[in-house]
Amino acid sequence: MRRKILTNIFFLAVVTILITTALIGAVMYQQLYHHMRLTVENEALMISAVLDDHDNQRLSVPTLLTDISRRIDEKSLDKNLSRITYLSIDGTVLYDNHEDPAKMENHSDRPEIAAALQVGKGEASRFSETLGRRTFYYAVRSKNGSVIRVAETSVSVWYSVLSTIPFLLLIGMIVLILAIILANRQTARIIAPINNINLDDPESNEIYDEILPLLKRISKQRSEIDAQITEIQKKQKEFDFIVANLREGFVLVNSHASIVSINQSAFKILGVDRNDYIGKLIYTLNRSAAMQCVVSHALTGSSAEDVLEIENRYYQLLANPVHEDGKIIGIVLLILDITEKHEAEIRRKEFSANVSHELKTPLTAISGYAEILKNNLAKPEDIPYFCEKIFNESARMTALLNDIMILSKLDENQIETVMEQVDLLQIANDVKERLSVLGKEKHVQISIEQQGFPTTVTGVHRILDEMIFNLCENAVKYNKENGSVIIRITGTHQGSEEKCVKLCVIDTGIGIPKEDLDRVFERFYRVDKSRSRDTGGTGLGLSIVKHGALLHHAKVELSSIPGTGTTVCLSFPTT
Amino acid sequence: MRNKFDEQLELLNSELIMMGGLCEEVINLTTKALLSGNPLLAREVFPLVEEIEKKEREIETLCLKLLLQQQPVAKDLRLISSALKMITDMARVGTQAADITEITLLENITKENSNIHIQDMALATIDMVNGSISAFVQRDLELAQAVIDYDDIVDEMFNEIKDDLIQLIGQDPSIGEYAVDMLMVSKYFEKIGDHAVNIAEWVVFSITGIHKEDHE
Repeated sequence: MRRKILTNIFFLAVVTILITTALIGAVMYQQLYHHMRLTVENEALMISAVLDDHDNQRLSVPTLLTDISRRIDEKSLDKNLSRITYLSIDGTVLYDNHEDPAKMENHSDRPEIAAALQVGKGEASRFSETLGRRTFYYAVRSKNGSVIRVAETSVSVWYSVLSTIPFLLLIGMIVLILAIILANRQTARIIAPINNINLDDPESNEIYDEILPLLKRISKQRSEIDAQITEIQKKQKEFDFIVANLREGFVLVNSHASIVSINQSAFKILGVDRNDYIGKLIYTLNRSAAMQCVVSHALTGSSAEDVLEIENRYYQLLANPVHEDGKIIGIVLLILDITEKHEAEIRRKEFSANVSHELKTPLTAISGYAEILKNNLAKPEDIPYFCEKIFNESARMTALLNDIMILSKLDENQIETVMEQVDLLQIANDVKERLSVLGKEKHVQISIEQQGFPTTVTGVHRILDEMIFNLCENAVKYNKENGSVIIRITGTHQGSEEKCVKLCVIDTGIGIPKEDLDRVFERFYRVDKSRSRDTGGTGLGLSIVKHGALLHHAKVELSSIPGTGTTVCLSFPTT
Repeated sequence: MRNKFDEQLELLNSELIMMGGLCEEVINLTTKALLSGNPLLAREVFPLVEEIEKKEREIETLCLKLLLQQQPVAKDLRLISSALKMITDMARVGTQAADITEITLLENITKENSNIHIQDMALATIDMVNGSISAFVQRDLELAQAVIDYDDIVDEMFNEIKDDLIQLIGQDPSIGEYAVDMLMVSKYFEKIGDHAVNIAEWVVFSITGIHKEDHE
């Protein structure tokens, strides 16, 4: 701005000076020329008048003129006297105060002389290109016919202009300096209010009218920017909130595998104390092969997932590349806890392996005996034995399939849920009756204890029967010689404030080791794999109890001391 | 120029951590395979060892390139030179893990007959390897020193196992195969512990510029 103002002022000044100089020069020149003409004319007339008077004197004209010019010469400071030439009537130069008259040619053809000779006076001006001078001549004819000519030389317009150049330059310099000072002052004065504009509230300023539209625009943009910033901050907050509250680990990684953003859950999962990990490599948090695999895969542009194991918990790593303009600028990494899923999967695998195994064992026996019978290889007296074997095994298979079907129905909630009032005491008596034969075989005493009343619950009779039978059967089967089983039923109005009917099966059996307590409800799980065949269970009993309890919203409690006995309690809520 | 150098140093750091991670993985897997006797797990070890060797060559090339092209000094030079040493030890951890796995696959050592407490020793060595890599990642002098000190305990464990094995052979000469294999396995674990110590020493060097020989 200052520069621009300075240039403008300077340019204006220079142009003004030039134009003024040129105009003044031209006018002055004209006036000077006019003045010179008058002077020369007067001078010539004066000399001519003097000569006319002198005509009869003794001295010749040239001598007189020489004398005059010498005398003037002596007194004048300016030695540059006008040129005076005296010519005879025929144009021969008789006297010249600048040059030797003998060397000068005849001047009768000069326009001013010719005019003087003819009409008494004549004037002319001639321009000498070489000298750059202009000479003005004025000639007068005296009475005796001779001619007196006076000449004065002046420099040309161009020369007079040229001679002013040094002055012009000097003036230019002065103007420049003045311009700089002025420009500085002016700029400062113009700029000061602009610098003091309060941009926080642009429209409140009192300033040049010319700037007001700009201020209005700034004000508008400002409010737009403010709105955008608020919006962005809000979004950022939302994002932070979501990420911080994710149960899953969330990590943003840039293309150099450095962490850009990471949430609290990720720290927890990867087992590191919160430290300043932003900007550090993801591998400083976790350098397992799974992590390396997903990160490097994702950085090549394809989504990757893997399972990471940390201290017996399983995490799924999901890495997705982030693209921008066709380039990969980073990865979004999600860490999901899949421990339960992973375990369930393992259990499912075990289950299907167990089912096929359990089904295959009786089938092998059946097909074996059947093959012997088919090929008539059996002795006639053995045939009943074989048939019994086949019958027993198929009965076992039927029992197993029944159990599996009940379980899968319970699984899919497909059981006909005709809820009715069922008396647990009645079922217990029923079960005791059915197990009496087995109890006698094993020399196990079964007894029922009843406390409180009523002992009825709302439920499905068939399932409740199945559950209690399974519990009691286990209690008898896994009992010791001369052991006992107590079925204790506690009615609603007994003891605790909890409104529930409680059924406990207490045995004096072999018990369950502590580490197996959690797993006995799993399908086909057996504490002692080698014994299972002897006792002939399906391995699904407790599983059915568990699912049946779920259906009835009942609570199952299992406590056991190995070698002493096991207690299983079912608490049925009553409404 | 400097930027590119920094980038390459960062890459070296990252590659070293990755290689360390692979070492941990391989020794974990080896131990799991040994303790469970699962041949499927054991076979997973070998590709990992190959991966480690590939990484070693990559890092070696990178280090030499850095040394030649950038002519590093002071801290950078220490990092690069200790990296060159560390990868050798890391690669040895991988090879020894592979050796243990080969013995596992002979199936002389099974879950049932293993009455030697190799598990404690294996876990101790895993801790040492973890510790030395973590010390590098976090530039943690104390942790590195702890790993170096822990070597004595692992050595002691090896001696105990050796004594136990001698006794076992005395009682029942028929377990010779088992005993020899077990001795080899425990020796390999002991060597892995030594490599962890070496790594830790180079970590100390890369931070302080002092290697163990300097103050002995």
